Amino acid sequence: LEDLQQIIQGCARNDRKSQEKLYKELYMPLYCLCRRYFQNEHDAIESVNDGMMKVFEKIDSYRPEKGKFFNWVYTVVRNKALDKFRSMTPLTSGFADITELEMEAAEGYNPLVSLEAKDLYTLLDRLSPATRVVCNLFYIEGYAIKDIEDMLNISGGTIKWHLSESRKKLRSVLEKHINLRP
Amino acid sequence: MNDEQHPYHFQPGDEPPIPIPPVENAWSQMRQQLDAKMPMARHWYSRYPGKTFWQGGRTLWIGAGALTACLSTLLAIRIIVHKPTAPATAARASTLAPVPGHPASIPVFTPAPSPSTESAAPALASAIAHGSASASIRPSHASTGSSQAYASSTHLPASQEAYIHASNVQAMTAGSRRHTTYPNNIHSISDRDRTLASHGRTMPDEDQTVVTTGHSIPGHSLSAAMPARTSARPLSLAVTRPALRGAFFATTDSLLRAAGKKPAYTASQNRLKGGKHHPSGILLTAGLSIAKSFPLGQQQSIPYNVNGTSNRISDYIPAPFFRLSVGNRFYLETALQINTPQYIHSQGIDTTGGDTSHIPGWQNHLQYNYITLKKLYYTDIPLSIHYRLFDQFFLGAGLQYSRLWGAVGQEDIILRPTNGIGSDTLYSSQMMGLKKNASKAYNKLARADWRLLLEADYHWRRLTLSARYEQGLSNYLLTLPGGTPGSSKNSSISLRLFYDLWNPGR
Repeated sequence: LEDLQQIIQGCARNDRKSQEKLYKELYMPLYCLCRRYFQNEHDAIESVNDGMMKVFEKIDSYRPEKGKFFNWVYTVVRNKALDKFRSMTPLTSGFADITELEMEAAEGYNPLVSLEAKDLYTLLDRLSPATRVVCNLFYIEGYAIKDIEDMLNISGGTIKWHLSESRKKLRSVLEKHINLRP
Repeated sequence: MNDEQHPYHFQPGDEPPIPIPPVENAWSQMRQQLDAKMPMARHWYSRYPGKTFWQGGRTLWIGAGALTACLSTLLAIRIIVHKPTAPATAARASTLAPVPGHPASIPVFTPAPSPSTESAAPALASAIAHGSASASIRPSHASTGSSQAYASSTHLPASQEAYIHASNVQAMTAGSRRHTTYPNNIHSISDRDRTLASHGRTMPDEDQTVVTTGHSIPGHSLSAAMPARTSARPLSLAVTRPALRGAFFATTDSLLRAAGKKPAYTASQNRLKGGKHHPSGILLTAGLSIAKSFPLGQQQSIPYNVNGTSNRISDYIPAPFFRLSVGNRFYLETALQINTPQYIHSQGIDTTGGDTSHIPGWQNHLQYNYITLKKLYYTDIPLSIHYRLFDQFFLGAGLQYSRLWGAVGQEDIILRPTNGIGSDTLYSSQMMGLKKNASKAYNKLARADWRLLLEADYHWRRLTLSARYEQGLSNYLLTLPGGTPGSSKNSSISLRLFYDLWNPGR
């Protein structure tokens, strides 16, 4: 961003021009982020706006020494998207009938890493909302299962079930793109 | 956040991997959230209608401030050098002596010599005494009770005027209303340079009248033959030198009328050279006006008419107006303007669909229809009162009732694969008249809109040029797609040209 510091200061003063400039600059990556959590375009935009609302409210608390500004915004918006997702989609535990082999398979291999970005969204749209979010956090965002447990407040077994489920559902599509392990 | 840079983290400036909805629509929703949760600091001007105008940018703010300063300065100057307009005074021709050699045979004053020994009178007094100068009289702009009265004749070059200074000059009726006498207290005559600069150079022709009744100045006796003035306002005397008599007294309408002649200048010519024509009483004027609006702030001007087609000639339909003048200071104005364009910022107002597409060949897609509002049309009925600040410049304020006449929207049809494979397809995008196409989105718009008006007018002959600012008092959008109430109000700025088709005062 050009004159990022000035824009941040303008946002801290609640200046609409600065807020608009920042919003429009970050809109595309943030929309792509939220679109991975929500299949519906309007839910994704609402999620972006809710996240940016929090960014504008808390922009005073941003400290450059703690990391890049974009990463901070990205984290705020993602957390807000997760909040929205949790409020929209009840997550339940209890998927314990997953085999150890499937768990290892689920954890040990990322089926999305070699996909083009545009294909990623297509594949995610085929998953159920909960599986989609778990898949996104684990395979795309790179979080550990323990972290995802805390984020979504569900058990590790449930997370592994969602990961396994995502692999099963995506298998037919993935086979066309990459060579899955037998 | 995971510090590892993942290939699916898109940075600003990257190519989007999926179709991105228009950022303007998203920002529009974002701004409404911000306005609701984080309202901007309320400046003093934001408490009044028109804050959208002020917030439109620093340039507008500076421009408005500069305009206000200019108007205030002009008003202050006008007040300081205020020149009251006097009714045309018809001197009796029978009491006036003809001027030899004057092309229009204008009668002028010829003073009689006096044995006074007063030595303060300059050479001009001598000229008066010898009958080679004339004097005119008019109400002074000096306040009542002033110890000094001035004379100024604007129809004379600067170097050829002089002034009589007198104490407690006051009109008095002596015997007949047609004669006025003055106290014998004129004490000096000075060159024009001492006073003209502070009085401007515009004196209506009608204000001048030849003095022929008995009157005395130091060393001489003057006569004045002007109609009696019942007003206690001070009078002033103007003395003109004989060399200018023929050239400049020809422009004195009262003299011409007194001599039974037609005024040398018509009323319109007088207005052209600074004269005024302010009818008294009640006067009704009617005519046509045409307006041109300009977008404000984030409003967008789109080249489509109320039906969604590109011919915009219908945006400029002349509107009939009626003006009721009360005296020469105020007038009321109303008009009927149909099909008035109202620029707005682009805003998504309706989304429908999500069902299987009915478009042949696209049955395996879901169809979404998005309506983005682009422009509104109203029928306007303004009612405003205008006050004359000075000359032909008026300021007005009032209310306007606007009835929704139509709306222009952009309809986007997006097709999304039902199997989740592939990307969205923008099937069509077109401008459409929402009312003409009976779109459901039209029902989300408020039908009535009340607005405040501020106007600045300049009148010239039958034409009036007006700049108008309008600020809506209510929201024009009832609900947003999410169901939340709309918070956008109309505002506009426009230039208008009025032409008086029927004006009995002209």
